[in-house]
Amino acid sequence: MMTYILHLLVMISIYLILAFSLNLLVGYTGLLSVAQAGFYGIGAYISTLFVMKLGINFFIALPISIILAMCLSLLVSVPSIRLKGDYFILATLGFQAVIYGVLYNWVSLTRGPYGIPGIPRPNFFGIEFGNIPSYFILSGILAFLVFLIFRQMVLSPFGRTLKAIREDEMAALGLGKNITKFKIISFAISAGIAAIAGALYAGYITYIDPTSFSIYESIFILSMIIIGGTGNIKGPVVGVFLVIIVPEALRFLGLPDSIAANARQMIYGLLLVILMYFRPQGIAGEYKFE
Amino acid sequence: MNNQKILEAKEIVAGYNKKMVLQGVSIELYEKEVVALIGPNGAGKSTLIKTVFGILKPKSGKIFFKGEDITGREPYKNSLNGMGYFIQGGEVFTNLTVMENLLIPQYIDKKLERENLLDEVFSLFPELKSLNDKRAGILSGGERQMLALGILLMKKPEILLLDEPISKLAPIWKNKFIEKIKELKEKWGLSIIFWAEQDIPKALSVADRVYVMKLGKMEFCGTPEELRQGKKLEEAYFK
Amino acid sequence: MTLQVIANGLIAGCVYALVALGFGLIYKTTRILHFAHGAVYTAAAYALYFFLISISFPVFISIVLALIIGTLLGISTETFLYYPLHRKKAPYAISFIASMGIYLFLVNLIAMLFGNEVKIIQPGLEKTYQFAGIILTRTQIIETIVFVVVFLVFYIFMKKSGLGRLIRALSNNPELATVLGMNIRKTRLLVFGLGSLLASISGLLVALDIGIDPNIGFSAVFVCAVAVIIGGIDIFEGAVLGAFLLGLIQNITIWKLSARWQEAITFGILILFLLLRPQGILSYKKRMEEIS
Repeated sequence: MMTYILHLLVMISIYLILAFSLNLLVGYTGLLSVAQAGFYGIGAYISTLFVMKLGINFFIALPISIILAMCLSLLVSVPSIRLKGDYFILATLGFQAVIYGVLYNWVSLTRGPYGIPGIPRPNFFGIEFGNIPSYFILSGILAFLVFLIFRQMVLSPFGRTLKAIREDEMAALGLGKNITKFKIISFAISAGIAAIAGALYAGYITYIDPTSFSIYESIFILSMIIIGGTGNIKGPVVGVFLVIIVPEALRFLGLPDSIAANARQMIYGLLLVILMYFRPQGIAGEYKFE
Repeated sequence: MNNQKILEAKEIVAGYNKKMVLQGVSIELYEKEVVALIGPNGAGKSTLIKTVFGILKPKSGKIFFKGEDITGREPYKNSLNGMGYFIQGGEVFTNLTVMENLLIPQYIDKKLERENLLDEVFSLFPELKSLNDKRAGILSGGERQMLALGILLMKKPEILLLDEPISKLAPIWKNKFIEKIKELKEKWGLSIIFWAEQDIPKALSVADRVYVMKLGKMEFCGTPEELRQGKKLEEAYFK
Repeated sequence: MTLQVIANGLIAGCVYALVALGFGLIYKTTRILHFAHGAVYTAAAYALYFFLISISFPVFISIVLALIIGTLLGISTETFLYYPLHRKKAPYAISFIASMGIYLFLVNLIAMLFGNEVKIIQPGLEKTYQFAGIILTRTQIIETIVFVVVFLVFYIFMKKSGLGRLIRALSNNPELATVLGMNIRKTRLLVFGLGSLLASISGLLVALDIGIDPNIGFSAVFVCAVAVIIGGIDIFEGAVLGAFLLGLIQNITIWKLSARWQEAITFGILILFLLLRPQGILSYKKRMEEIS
């Protein structure tokens, strides 16, 4: 039972990191993106490949995957960030499909649909995070660090500029801020943080395949922050806890697993629709997408 | 006035969000007359026109059209009821030809087909006839405004509300437009209300009556002659 | 061989073009990113499967019923979701997220009802025909003919009919349309009906071709998104051009490189377009301000 709860907490920490990463983009910069799972996957695969194929330590592979994810984010942001919001969404959609396609089809590198099994647990100077309690400590610490970084960012001048851009681009322009630069930086940071979650995920489950990083995962992450609320700090936290704990609790009510996955997604879908109509700022958020 | 009152707005308080631009203005429009609304920036001229047409809902006050209370009614309903609203700048459908643009009101309301308005519109705007099959997107500013007005006329409206129709035009076109307004009153029998911030002499040259607004209030109402003799115009613009 | 690849690419483009045309029509007229378009596509495909295979209705009736279901589904999204949001002046992001919600709901409903595995309608090898050195399957020929007929009818309707002009007017200048008294609600319904019909036709063609699973909707949406960006949204036909280009690119890539590079190349082309000509191929020159 304890193991189960710790497992949930590890997943919650991973998703908290993802939620913060997307919240920075959606709730603070006002950019809607469906590519988050793509960066999540990039983080997972890059750190895994560095660890397994090049024998590099997880804790060095981690910053490498963050940087690579940030660089790859430029492929999307530089051409499309100046376009209107709905065009930008289309571009992120394209990017997400491409990442998935590359992960799925570049079999010689990623083993495609077969996935990569046997990923070693992270090793820090001899301390192996081999069991769930220790992994919880690792993921918990990383999630907390991300939380601190996130909070620092939103309270800093950078964060306030982002908020200004979100609220009124024209006014922010008038204040002389280079909007494009800020948006690109924000997008890159968001990608980098998502990569952290990916590396954590890979090291935890010790097996990755492309299906964990599909458009459905992107929509799932987006749902979490939309349900919980965007544009502030507590919104995503509420969202992650709700979205992860409630279905687990429902599981004890005995829905057969095969339709549970579909039923769960149906409920998310319905929730999204209802929230968008009645309460776009989510349960605990601030931003209403105006 | 021997003509009937066709439009009346009483004590309108209206504005955007929390700012009430109009502080209680009243205005009247009679059949077959041209009324000019003038005043400095921020007076509320555009706000008033938009409120009459229904784009803005007034916080208080009433609007009557053809004797009927239309306060708060949807713009498209007013449009179907005989109000022609000219959008500032002269909007047209740039992807359709001039001819297609003019026929749009007929596609919206099939009954208009019987009216054969096209010939009358072309006689009013001979410039448009030669541009008949050109895409509206390539028209010059002046041509576009003519077309915008032409489309409105194809609706067979009873009154025209023109949201600052002349300031963005080149001088030749300004004069042309003013001429058309005159023709619309005399030959078509329309009642027209328009507003202008500059080009006061031109506005006064075609108006039967003029209202002067300042900071959301009506400062003057009367004929252009009475206005020229008094001081109200200077007071509105320069105090 | 080149001719075969080009033929395959163009025919794939035919199917893409129909669903992309529907998406582009809806997007251009209502500014809604109708993600649920993919769900309409999927639903029509599964409806065909259900009527034809599950309960063995005659072919013609199955097709008609499937098309009706798809079209009605699309119209419902407008009636019950998009139009109410439009009346509340909801920003595009909200409609998009709600659209994703509908997609999730419908696609998973279909998965629950029919299962997640691939379903085939026409099993086994197909009859093939030869034209001028190219080999085409019967389905490919059907796809081509359907596309040509549907596109012609659509084109004539849009260019020549009163309703078509009303739709084009609405998509060009909604403010003016309202001011002139256009019944926006009805026109939007028509647009969603047409667009969903197109998506349904496309879904049926795909169902007949390679088989279906609950996720085909997303590939369709991806195609729509790319086609619209490449082809431009100034006129609906832009999406068609984009779709054909996509079909060609994909097939040429498979031939010259290999399947794994399809998406990467597609995306590379997409990036080029976004960088150099964000208004797409067929648009009239737009200023950057108008799309950013």
